[in-house]
Amino acid sequence: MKYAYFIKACAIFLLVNVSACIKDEAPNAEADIEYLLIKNDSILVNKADTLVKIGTESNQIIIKVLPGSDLRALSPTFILTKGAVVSPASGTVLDFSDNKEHTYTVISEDGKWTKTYTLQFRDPKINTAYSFENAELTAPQNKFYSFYELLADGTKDNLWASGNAGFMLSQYSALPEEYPTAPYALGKNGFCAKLETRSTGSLGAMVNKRIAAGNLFIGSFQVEAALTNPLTGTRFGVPFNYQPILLKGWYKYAPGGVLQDTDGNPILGQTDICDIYAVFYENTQQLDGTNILTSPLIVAVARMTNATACSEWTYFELPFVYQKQVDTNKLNNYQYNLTVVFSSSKNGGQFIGAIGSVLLIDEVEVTY
Amino acid sequence: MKTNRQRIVILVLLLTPVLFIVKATDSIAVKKFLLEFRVGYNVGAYTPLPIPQEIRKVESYLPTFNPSIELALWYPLNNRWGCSAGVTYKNRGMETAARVKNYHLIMQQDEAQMEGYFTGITQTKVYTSSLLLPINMTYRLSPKWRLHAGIYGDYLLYGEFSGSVSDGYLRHNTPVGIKTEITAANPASYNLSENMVKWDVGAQVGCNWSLFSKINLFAEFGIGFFSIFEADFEAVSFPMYPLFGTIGVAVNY
Repeated sequence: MKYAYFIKACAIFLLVNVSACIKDEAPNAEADIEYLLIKNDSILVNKADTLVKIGTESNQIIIKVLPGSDLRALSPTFILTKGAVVSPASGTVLDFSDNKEHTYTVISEDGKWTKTYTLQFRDPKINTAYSFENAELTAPQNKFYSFYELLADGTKDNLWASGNAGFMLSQYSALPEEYPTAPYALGKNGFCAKLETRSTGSLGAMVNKRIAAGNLFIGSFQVEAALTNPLTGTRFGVPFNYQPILLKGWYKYAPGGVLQDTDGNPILGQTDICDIYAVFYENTQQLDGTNILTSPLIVAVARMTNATACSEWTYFELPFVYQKQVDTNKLNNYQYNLTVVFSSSKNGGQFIGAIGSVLLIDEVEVTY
Repeated sequence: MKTNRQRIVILVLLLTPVLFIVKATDSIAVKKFLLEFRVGYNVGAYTPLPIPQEIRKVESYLPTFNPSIELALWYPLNNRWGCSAGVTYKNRGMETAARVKNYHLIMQQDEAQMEGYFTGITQTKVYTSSLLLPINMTYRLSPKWRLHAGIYGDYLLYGEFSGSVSDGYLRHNTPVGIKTEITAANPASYNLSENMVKWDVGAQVGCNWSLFSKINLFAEFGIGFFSIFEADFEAVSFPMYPLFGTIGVAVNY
């Protein structure tokens, strides 16, 4: 017994000594805008945007405002990482009218790191016909592509999101074309979107996320939960003020060799299948991968049920099946969201799929 | 970078004077060698020295089961001085959890790697079995007390270095890079056992206290000069040195 006490005494002695050696905390090296606060909620399409959590995957902040809002004197305020400073200062009154974009620079507490953000307030209007001709490497990493839309007035709209940022964490040396979601030259017309289920390698296996299905959707992707609960990171939909009727377009699909389950074991006798759907829902809450097809907020769904492997461009036309009445007043005030979702592996969200499944998508349109 | 060859050269250089003393005294004194058999227990840690600023708090510490056995030849040169050489089989290790802030790490798994700055909890388990060759000068303080100090060569027979990060977040590449949560439910684990180096050279000081005529209690403190990882190993950004104390029983013949 005495011996055990001695060991404990030694351990405590060591711990105390080690603790005594701990140095003073270094000043913070992070330089983030963590939250954006908008005091005047009457201009906002989404009233929840009075307090917006800002992700770290993009330095571009765009807030949707109701058409005709007065944006000449807004004073956005920020919550920054501890000790960081921003210029222009939080609360500075600036003119954001006519899509004016303002740049904010955040400097970390230790002064060694800076991050530059742009902030813009924009009309919620979106395109409804998509040719996937426009893609660019995504700042600030410039490792993978994002698709964007060109609006009628020539401005870029980052309508489309994908899980590419999550894939980057696992396969940092991958080329932009090797990401699950990328542009591809051999489209129906010009370029198309190529979605391919990829292996996330040994780092992905480490966190039990062995594959990354190619996905492309209207909405945004937050990478913060990519290693823990990635379904919550796919934030589906943007405000839409029309009642959608059809989702139509062209696709090609080739399933990969071996369908595998979450643990990487082969699922024998089954082949992978793609998923194509659109959801129209009441936007009192932003739906994500956990509830996009199950939420009571859903008003209408258009979903492909007969997807097959096809080596030629194949036309699809999916009607929105309405489960609820649409309120015209809500519609006019952008109180519904629309999302369109493509995935090269239907169960990719559960990390079930076949590596090498390829879905090509082109010339998509939502009619209303 | 300290290569294995450099370690061996240093060991030989340090050993040479001791060997000469043994050699020189050999002819004069026909005094008897004493055989000493030691059984001990080791408590300590593989630790960076000094503790880097990124480590904010040691949350927990648990020694692994760390016995050692040693067979040593002790040769008294005169009434006071002597020297000894031995061979030791030693287990050392511990499990620790530490709270870190902005801790640079590279997670390497086969061909893939993830680099970044982690804030949260790191859990580390180190466990080694080594063969040590200690060489000491000894000094008899009194009939009861004998001190010793010397150096040792350390050959790693088995080494495990594994751990995980959790309860925090990783900033990808730089402190302002993409932020990813790493929760306790989904920790990211790593195993760097294969990157441990085989050779080390270190020093020890200790004392013997005679309990009965043939039985001594001993205490010893040892420190390795080299990190358990190569100096250019990037996955762990600071060197980790073995820092262990031993207590036990020695029997003389």
